Amino acid sequence: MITRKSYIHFVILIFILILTISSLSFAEISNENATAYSYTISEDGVWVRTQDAYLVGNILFKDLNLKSPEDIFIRNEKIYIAEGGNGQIVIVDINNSNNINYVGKGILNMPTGVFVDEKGRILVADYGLGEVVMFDSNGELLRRYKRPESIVFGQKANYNPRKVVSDKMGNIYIVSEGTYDGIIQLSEDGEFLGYFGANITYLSFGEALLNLIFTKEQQAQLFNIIPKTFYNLAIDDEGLIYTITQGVGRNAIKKHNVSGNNILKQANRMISEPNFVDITVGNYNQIYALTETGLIYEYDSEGNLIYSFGGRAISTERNGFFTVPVGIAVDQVDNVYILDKERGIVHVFYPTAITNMTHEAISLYEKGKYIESMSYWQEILKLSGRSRIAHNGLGKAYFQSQDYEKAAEHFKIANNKIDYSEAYWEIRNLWLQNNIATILIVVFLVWVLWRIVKLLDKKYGILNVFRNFFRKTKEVKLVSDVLYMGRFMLHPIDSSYDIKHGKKASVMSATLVYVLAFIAFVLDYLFKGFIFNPRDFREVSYLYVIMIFGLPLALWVVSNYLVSTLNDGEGKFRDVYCTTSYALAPLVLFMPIVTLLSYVITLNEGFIIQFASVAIWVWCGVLIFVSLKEIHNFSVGGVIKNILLTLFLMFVIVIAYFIVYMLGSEAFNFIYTLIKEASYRIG
Amino acid sequence: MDKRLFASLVVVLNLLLLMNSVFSQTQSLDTFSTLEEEIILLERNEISNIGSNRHTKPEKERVVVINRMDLDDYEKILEDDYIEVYYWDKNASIRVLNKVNGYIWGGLPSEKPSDMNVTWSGIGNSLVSIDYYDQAGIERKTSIAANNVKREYVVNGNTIFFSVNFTQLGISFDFSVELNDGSLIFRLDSDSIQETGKYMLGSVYFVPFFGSVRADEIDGYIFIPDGPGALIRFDKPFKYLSNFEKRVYGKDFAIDHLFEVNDLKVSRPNDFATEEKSVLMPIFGVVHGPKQNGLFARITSGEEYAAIVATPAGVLTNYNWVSAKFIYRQKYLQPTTRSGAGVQIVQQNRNHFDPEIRYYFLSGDDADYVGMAKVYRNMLYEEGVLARQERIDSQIPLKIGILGSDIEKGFIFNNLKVITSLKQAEEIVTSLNSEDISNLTVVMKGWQEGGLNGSKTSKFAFEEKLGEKDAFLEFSDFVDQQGGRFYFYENPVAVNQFQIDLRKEGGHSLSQDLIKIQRDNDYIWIKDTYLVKINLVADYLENKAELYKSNGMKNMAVDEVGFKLYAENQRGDVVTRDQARVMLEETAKNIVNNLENLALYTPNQYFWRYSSEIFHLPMVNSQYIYETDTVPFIQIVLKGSIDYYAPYSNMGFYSPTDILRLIEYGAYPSFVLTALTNDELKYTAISDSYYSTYYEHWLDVIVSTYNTINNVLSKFEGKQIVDRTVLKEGVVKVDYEGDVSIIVNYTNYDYFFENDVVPALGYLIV
Repeated sequence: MITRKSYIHFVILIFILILTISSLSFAEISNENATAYSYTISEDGVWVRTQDAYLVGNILFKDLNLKSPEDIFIRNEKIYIAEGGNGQIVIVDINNSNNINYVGKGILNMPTGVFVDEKGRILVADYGLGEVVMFDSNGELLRRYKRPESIVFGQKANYNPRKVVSDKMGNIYIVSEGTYDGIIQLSEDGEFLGYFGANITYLSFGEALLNLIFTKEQQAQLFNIIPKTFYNLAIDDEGLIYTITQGVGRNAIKKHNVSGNNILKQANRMISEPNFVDITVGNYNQIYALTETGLIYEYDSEGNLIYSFGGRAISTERNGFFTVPVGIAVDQVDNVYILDKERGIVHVFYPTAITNMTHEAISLYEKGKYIESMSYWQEILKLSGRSRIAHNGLGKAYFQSQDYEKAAEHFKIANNKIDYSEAYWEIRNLWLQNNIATILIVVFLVWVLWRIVKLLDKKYGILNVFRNFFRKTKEVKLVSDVLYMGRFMLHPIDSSYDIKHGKKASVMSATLVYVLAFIAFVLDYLFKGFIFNPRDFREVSYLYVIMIFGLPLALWVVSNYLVSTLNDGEGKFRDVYCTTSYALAPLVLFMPIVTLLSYVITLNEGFIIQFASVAIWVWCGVLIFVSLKEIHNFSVGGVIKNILLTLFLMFVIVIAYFIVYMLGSEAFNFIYTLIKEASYRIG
Repeated sequence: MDKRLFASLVVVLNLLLLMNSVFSQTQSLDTFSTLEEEIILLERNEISNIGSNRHTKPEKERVVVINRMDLDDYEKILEDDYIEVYYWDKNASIRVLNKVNGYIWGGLPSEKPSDMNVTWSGIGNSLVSIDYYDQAGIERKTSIAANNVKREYVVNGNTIFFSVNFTQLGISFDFSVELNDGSLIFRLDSDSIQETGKYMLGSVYFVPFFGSVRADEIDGYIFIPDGPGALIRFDKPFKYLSNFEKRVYGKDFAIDHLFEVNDLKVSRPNDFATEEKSVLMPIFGVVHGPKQNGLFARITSGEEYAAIVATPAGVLTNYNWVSAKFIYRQKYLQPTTRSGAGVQIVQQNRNHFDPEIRYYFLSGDDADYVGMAKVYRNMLYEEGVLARQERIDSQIPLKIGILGSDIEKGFIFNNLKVITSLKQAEEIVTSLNSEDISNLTVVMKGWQEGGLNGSKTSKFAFEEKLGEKDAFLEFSDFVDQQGGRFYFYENPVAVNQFQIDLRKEGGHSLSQDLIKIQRDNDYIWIKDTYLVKINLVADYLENKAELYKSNGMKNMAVDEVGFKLYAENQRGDVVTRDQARVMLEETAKNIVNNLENLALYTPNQYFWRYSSEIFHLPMVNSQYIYETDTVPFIQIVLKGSIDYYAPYSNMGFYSPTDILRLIEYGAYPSFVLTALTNDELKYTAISDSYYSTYYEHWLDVIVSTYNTINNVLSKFEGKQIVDRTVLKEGVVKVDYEGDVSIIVNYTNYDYFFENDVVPALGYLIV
């Protein structure tokens, strides 16, 4: 019997918020062999699809019925799996899948991490026991690493080993759950050596501000700023430790030196995700990281992303789609193994030819053999069409072979401003070398010509035509008002007085100056030279640009006038409008020069641009300050008060607008939903 | 003062010059290694490919399959020269005895196996099983073997007529089982369906567990038409997430539009999955012991509303079974908010169709997927769907898709970007001709005004920036003269908002919203694809074909319409899916009168009759983890009757194993090319879809790929495939008529065959 109540309950249950999202594309264009696309970073820094980098070969262990396997490790052609649900380590021969051994049954409780050192000894992090256990290669128990008793370790410190590695000297590194001080380092004998490589905490701006205000007791109560814990770790052949941290957008992957500092060259610029679950190092020192959603990211040893592949199995299980991926490992022929804890199986990916080529290229690149890597990078570009790492590789190769034009071209395509700047320096240098003689001659000739012209002018007045022309144009009021900018810049007080009393400038000329200022602003914002231009004009909507220039100015002028009338300022709206526009004169006159300069200087001389830009804006600010004082007739203190109040009013207007917008949008959505539902029920 | 400044400047600059020339060095370039030597190393991992389900596994050693079913309690009810049909009324189940070899087919081996409950035992044994919905939309299963079902039957000649009444549900209908020349035909009379209670009929299955096998008790497999064809070998139960259920002829976008949230929670775009292959043929099969016993099923009516359901052991039961599901009602998403969220509700009205499915019983050499393919091929020949009309060429054809133009995102307005001008296209053709490749199938995409993604679907006009009509016709003649064919590309189905008037021309789903396919990717420009109303698709195609004829355009290549079959569900304007199919078939029949050649991309089986060539035939299945093999079923059916081409090689299909697959499957190579490099295309609408198409980069690969494939397949033009055997993992032998075979070796070690060697990653013709 279906009661009304259960019907309603059911309807609510059925009210599934499924978004009509699909991953459909035209069937004609698809990678036939792959179930998920392989991605790389294009030359302009976006994720793009590319040729299949890795494809799934075999699916392993379907018949082993592994129960909650937590970790996978490969060494010496054997696969080691920490089977958490059965309290054992399963060892399978890569070449002979029937050769299976079990280690630790009866001793282990819930192994979550497994590692095999060079001597073949098996280290197991057992979360259930709260210990790290070491077995020899035959499975005999060698020792147990219980909670360190050292006083330095402390009584309250956590010891919940989840993952473990050891280095060539036998030191053991343990990632322990709830340990904020970093990786626990033990000697081979179990002695506590200290913590390794803790994460740094960052205070947000708001927190830092509050930190200043609150007392120490209040701080201790309110803020529990603790560093994030590590989630997993790996070690490479040179003994360097790699860690993963979850929940951070940047630097989720770190490569630590002996002191624990992050030595990845791309640190702070690396593309990383907040949900990595495992990490391993490949045969070319490249880094593989696995996300919680089944994606594999492959980076070179500097942290540049090479390829990304894999996918998530939600309701369909295809090769290369994972339900709960927990472990990643690489064997000596570069196959990548991904362990799915929920299904108890391992998907094996093998690299395609383009990936092997990429590995060869980065291996040569890292040894500094840029020129030898060139032919590989060219092949890779041909096949994959767009690849940032290939363009950078080619750029470096051309640079090393001194073909600076080509190097600059590739660095520019790869948006690599630093290396482009260096290549450009070389090009400029060569150009100067080649052309300095001609330049000097030309300069000399021009100077001579100028002297001759001046001489002729003195005698015959040949330049009088131009002089008359200029005089006539200056007589037009509009032109002279606009040119008044120059005077305003140098003598703001007198000029403001003139404007206030109507002697100079008009609304028309002020508007013209605003337009000119806008043009100068757009040129500087969007069209600086490549080295100093942080954005692509095509990506920016023209409405946005108008808004970021026009809106603050408009708000400022209006707010200032409103505030000033309340404050007994003398200035009329026209005055505020005109003086603000003329205060932008330095922008109009000098910013274009700075913009032009950005095309010919390199990063080494970048301070010129920064300095000049700051100087121009400061000058504008000073002009505004002075002109406000003059037209409103305030004291210095009064001007400061006026400015602060204006800023406050601008802020209030913006907030008011957002509130109205959000409320309106919510109301609209609500009515829309009502109408839709009503029409469905009636129809 | 100035003079001094000037002079010092000169001096300083000269000093710099001097310093620079002193300190600059020269460096000689090192020679770099040749790539050819490295190729073997680079492809060393390809051997891992052969263990995957993209290839076919070798059959195990032959073990004679003995009968697991007996005929106790069963009475013979029908008989002819080939089979005997036995029936037991207790659970309305049948057994079929194949007279040729005495093998007995049935549902479950016993009335109630120990590992199944009563409901499932009934479903497993009985003739008909149904899914039904209650008022709240909950779906349940039952069968005619259940307790409260009243059954009556009468045998009339070679047919048993049944009337069943699910008394507790209030559902009743009539169905029949006919014995026809060694095959069993199951039919349901839809007019007889009555629903008097609160329950609604969802789907109907005929003998769902017919031919099922428990775990891996028998060596054999289920064959499903996933992509080119896939096998699910019988295996022990494994807890898979779900089974295989795919609608015949692809999803009906006018109602099927439920997709899971694919949130990857990373900065990468969320649309990571490649498209799954669709079911192009309404068939499936079961093999109990390869080359011993087989079942082949073909849906002959109502396939537009049918789905192929295959369940490996471990999903709900320990049995591997396959069946056809005839869908009368399904659930669909009724959105109630602007973001698309909504309720799932059950269709009110039943779909109108009459289900009919035929089972054929195979034995001996016919009893494997190759046998099934040949049986199906013969059927299609007899029905006139296929004919021996493959164009026999001395050199195999090469398909070149050329992108002419497309829209590009501008600062304020969109503009049209010329990607490959006619002159550049001519250059491509001439450079291929100079390499002795003249049998070119050239497909020009984006030739219409507005470019590939900006052209109006209802209009007919040439893009002037590429050329006038005469220029196109000249190029078309040029290609033809060299020995090829020039196709104009049409896509009348999947469009974006620039191409149609959404209100008037857009297709609607049952929820009354526009059919919209969205890509979950914030980095691409055009994310939404709409489908044109299906009756307008038919109209536009017919109009265009007439315009082609009057303008002297000979060949049309039509995309999307081959594999997208959908209804129109706007109230008052409804076109059902089967009506849509009839409409499209009618259109195809009409337009071939106006065209010399009509080529279709990935066409469903009903279009094969009208296709001169087939583009983009699938080569790999969808790679579900329960699928164990990919088999070239569709290729065996088509080879010798129609020319078919593989997907674009330069989009992930160019490795040596891929080239070998083309050879093995008898498919011709295809490439898509542009005259611009791909970073020059990055602001166009197609930038995300094509990654590497610059023809100068691919010319060498095209020539070498073509030559490799041509050396083999030119000798097999027009021949049918007779058999296919996997000699060893990674080594496949395909036998053609005329007693000639190809052996393909996907491994990286040589294979010795009789007195010859099949080289590693190579082939041999015997």
